[in-house]
Parts: sequence; C-alpha cells; structure tokens
Amino acid sequence: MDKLLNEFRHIALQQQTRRHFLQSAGFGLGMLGLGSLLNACGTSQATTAPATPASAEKVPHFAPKAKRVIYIHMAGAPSQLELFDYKPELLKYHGKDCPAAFLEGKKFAFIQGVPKMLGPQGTFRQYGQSGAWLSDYLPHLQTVADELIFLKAMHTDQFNHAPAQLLLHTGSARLGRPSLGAWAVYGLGSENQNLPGFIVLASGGRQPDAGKSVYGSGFLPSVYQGVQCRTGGDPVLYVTDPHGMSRNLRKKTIDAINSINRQIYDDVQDPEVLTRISQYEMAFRMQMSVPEVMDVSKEPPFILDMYGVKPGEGNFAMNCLLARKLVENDVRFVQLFDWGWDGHGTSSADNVEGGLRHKCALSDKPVAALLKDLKMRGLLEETLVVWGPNLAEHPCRKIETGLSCPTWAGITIWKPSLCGWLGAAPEKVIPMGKPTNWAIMGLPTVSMSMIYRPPSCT
Amino acid sequence: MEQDHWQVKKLLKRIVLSATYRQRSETNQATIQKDPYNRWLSHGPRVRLSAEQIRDQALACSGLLSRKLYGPSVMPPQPDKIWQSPYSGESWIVSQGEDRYRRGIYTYWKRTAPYPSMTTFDAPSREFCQSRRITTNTPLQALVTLNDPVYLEAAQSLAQTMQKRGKTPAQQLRAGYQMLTFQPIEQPKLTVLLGIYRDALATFKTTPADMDSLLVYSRRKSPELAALTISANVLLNLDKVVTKE
Repeated sequence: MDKLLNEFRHIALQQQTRRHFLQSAGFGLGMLGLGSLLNACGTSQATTAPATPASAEKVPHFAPKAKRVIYIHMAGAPSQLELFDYKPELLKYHGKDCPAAFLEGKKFAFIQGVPKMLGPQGTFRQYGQSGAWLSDYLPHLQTVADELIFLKAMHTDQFNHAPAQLLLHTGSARLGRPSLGAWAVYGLGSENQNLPGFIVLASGGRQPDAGKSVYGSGFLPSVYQGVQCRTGGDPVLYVTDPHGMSRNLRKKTIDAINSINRQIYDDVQDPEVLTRISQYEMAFRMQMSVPEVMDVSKEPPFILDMYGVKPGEGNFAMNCLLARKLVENDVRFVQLFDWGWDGHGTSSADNVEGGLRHKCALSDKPVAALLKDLKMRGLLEETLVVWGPNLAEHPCRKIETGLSCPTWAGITIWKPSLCGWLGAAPEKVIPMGKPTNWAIMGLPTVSMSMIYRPPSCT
Repeated sequence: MEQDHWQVKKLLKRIVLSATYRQRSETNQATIQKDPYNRWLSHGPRVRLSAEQIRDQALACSGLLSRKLYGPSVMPPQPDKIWQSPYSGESWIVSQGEDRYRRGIYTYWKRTAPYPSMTTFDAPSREFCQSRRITTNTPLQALVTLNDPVYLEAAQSLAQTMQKRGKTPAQQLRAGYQMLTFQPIEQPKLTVLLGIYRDALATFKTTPADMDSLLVYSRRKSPELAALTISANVLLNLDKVVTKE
C-alpha cells in the first residue's frame, strides 16, 4: 500500500513540476518507465518480482526493435576523412594551398591565412557486401562492415568540445536538458531492478569535457541520471558494508532512513527526497549486483583475447566488455566515453599518423569484438550500438607546423559533418541506411521531445 | 537600492534579514498548486550540501573536526588503489592525529586522482574552471555516507557524544537529531529511530563479535554504543541532514 501511495505521490508531483510540453506525455511512456523504475522504491516487497506497470498496454504504434543502447562516444574529433569518409578528390589537393573559394567569407578557428590541404593518409578499401569504405586505421572494424550503417549527414553548430558534447547528448548546447540515456530510461523504464538503468563508463584518462551534464537528467526527475561506475579496481567504491554490519541490519538501516525521508517528503514536497529514497534502495541492491556484473574474471579466455583485455585493467577495451555484460543484464543504456580524440596536429601525439593511429589501435579491436560478441549472443538484434565523436575534422593542415608530419587542424570545424555508425539497425547492409525509430536518436540536432512524445499524445 | 543609497552591504543585509529569505522550506500541496516552481518564493529553497560541506558537517557534528588552520594539505583515509602513479612513486599516506579530521579544503588534491568521496558528491576534478557545480543525486552518494570509513568513524564518535547527552536511548537519539538538524525531532521520526536502535541492540547482544568489529575506533565497547552507532549512521544519511533548508 505504501508503495502504491508513493507512486501516486510521484505521479502527482510529476504533473506539478514537468515542463509544459512534457505534461502531455506524462500519461504515456513516461508513466510506464517511472512505474518500473520506481516500483522498488517502497517497502519490503521491493525485492520481489517487479510489478506490472499500470499502463503496460500503451506501447507505441510501431514495435521498437532495439531494447538497449550502447553509446560509444569518442570525445573529440576522430577524423572521419581518415576513417570512413573516403575523399579521393582530396588527394589532388594534398599539400597545396586551400582553394580560395573554400575560405572566402568564412572564419576558421586556429587557421590564419591560407592553410594547406591534407589528402587522406590512410589506405581506403571497400569492405563487406555493402561495400563500405574503411581505411587501414580500422583493420578490425573492416571485418564487421556489414553490421554498420554510416550516418554521414550529421552536423553541428558548435565548435568547442564541451558545448558540442552537450548538443550531441542532450539536444542543446546549453545546460539543463536531459541526456539521451536519461530520456531512454524515462521513456522505457529499467528492466533490471538491481542495476541503474543508465550506466556510464569513462576511459582515456579524463572525463568528458562537458562534465556530468552529458549524462545528467536535466529537468527530468534526477532518478534518471546516469550512474558512473569505475573501471579497473572496484567498479563502485564503498560497496561493502562496514565490518560488523550484517546484510540484514543494513537492510533495516536503509528502511529506517527511507521511512524518515518519506516523512520529510511529506513536509517539504521536494521531489529530490523521493529520488534519494529510491537511490538508497538502489544502493542496497547494487551492493550485491554490481560486483557480480562487473567481474570479468569468469569470462572465458577467448572472450578476453577477443577484446584484448586482462582482468583488473581499466581502459576502453575493458569498458567495451563491461558494456556487453551490462546490456546482457538488461541495463537500458550504457554510455561509454573515451577521451583523447582531439587531433590538433601540433605534435606526433595528436596528428593523424601518430595520435589518431594510436587511439584507433586501442579502440578498433574492442569495438569490433563488442559487435561480434553481441551478435554471438543474439543481443545485437535488439541492442543499438552508436559510435560517434562530438566534432569532425576538415582537411586543412596548419601551415605554421613543420612539414615533417602530416598535421590536422583539430577542432576547427565550420559546419562539420559528424559521422557515426549504428549497429543492429533494421536495414543493415546499407552503408547510408535510413535510420528508423531508435536509430534516429543518434542525431544531435533532432529535438528530443519530438522523438519521445508518445504517438497517443500528438 | 536607492533607499539604501546604493550600498551593497545594506542591500545584502536587507535581503538576508527579510522574512522571504528566512522562511522555512516546508510547504504543502495547496502552496505547490499555486506556485509549482517557487517563482513567487512561497517557500525557502532546498539545496543539497556540497561535497566538502557534507564531510565537514559529519566531522563537526560528531566532534571530530579539527579547527587547525593553514599548513600543507592532508590525506584523510581513502580507498586503496585510487592513486596510481607508475612514474612517480607518490603514494597516499593517511594522515595521523588531528590531520585526519581537517576541513575538506585541506584535503590533498591530485587532479588525475581526486578524493573519491568528494567527486561522488559533484566536486569538480579541477582540471579546468567550472562556473557551477551540477548537483546530482545518485546511489553512489548513498554508498559514501553509508559505508565510507570516514562516515563510520563520524557515526561512532557521534554515538559517543549522544551517549553523554542523554540517559535513555530516546534522549540520546533526540539529542543526535537536534545536533544535526537544529530542530527538535517529531514523534514519528523518533519512533523509527528507536525501532532501528532496538533492532541493532538485539543483534549486537547476540553477536558480540560483530560489535567488536563495528566499533573499531573506540576502546570501550558495548552493545549500546554499537546500536547507537548504527542509529547515528541512519541520522547522517537523512535527507534533512545532507540538505540545506
């Protein structure tokens, strides 16, 4: 009964606080998601079977194929011109001055005067039945070319990393809007009550430039925000109870905390209190579930070889393996961030021959392994894998740097084309396939509210 | 402004002494209906404390906080393997004595491996300037204040203080709540606290070994102190305690 009351209070609160355009969606997918995500936020029934959401019959007109998302975000700008976007014409201009027509009336950050053009440095060939062009930077990805759909029509109006990441993940370059993962969990709920519906893993030595907002919940209730787990070492810190505290006693303390917090909610009507209540429930369950799901030591050796990881490592490859384990456990949205894809061409560490090759060498194998692994388990059928950067590159090299190494003018993009590829999309074997339903999520410029508004409310 | 002859200090004083600024955060459905976004300032805002504040508050209320000023940064307890410096041989050496309990701003900060419980509560890594902190509300934060040894030590110390402030469990719990929230406890909340106290007391009376391992920081061990430590752990995790009202 308590649980029901609590849900009801949550629903009432939703309608009070939701922005106007979302209010109409409140009875559709939103409630469905909320019901399943929060059905554990209550009493001791919490740990038993999840309740059937009240509005379970309200499914969209079309049957969505993808049930889970793995979003692999390469923070920075892996040059599409070296990876997927073959431009043979550019070879003719290699080393020559940029034609005046390209520069007239335009401004490029970091570029002064007339830059030299840079032709493709990688060797391109077509792969798979689809004949997708891929370069020798990605030898492993070539083997799964037919699983991919390339979206070469992406563009952004941001030329700094942080706002570009915000735009890509939240649909707005400014703070305050929910991220893709938050929307997905809000709209579709969580299928595993023992793990957060939206889990974030970062690699590359740094966090995304735009900080936690890229996996935040914006104006949605904060229960939908991404939960970042660590890789290498303990996935979650402070996950074990203090010595001398039994599981039973821990359960009782959490019940006591939540019971008082519910009374506090009655006084202050602050939705953050409700979130805190459900997060304490989640914390309790995560203490059991997270160490188990994040333990790769029981994976067979061939899987570890496939990804190129050893247990205990914390890197991008490990995150790919963990992403597979998480979606296998019905985590709705897994977001990977890999930092270090910003090539300014100022040294061999960040030019196309050095830095980009190095980053590709670290990530190509595990990404291909992830797709193969998912396919092997039948998960690729219903898991959408999105790969993409926040900016792209243009083919100008900086004139002030020496000619000894090919250089790249970094993030200096004016209307760049973002490229990404999608796995498990409905019409595969089409290199530039039309994305349908879930696949459309990859577009940063599409208004999120349009995508997630249930058809019944339009 | 004009009334105050454009003196900012006077303006600030007027603001902070106003009834609007000083009103409580408590509200009800009727008010929420009329002012859902608090645009008309019908009630006070509620803001979760910052990472440093949450730690400092736990230390201060439990009587552990060191008032020492200035000096080099200190290294309070943190989990193993946070610092991985293959090239420099630097290591995290836990500070001894009162340096364990200095205010959060004295905590040694390494940008590639910041103090973990603070980043969990949204402290920035300080790699670059950040104009504002995004406040999150995650299960990872719950795990910090539930299980981090820093908070456990605080709970134990708070329990000892509570023991001094009252004779009966009810008096002790009442005092603890008052110290953390500056408000008297209402009966229903006290009932819950007494419930967990009694449960814990019964547990530790039957399993003295658990009592010994829980009370690692105190010399005098008793089931009552252990039960009060558990209650203090509950108190330190209340929404009201980690939120500025």
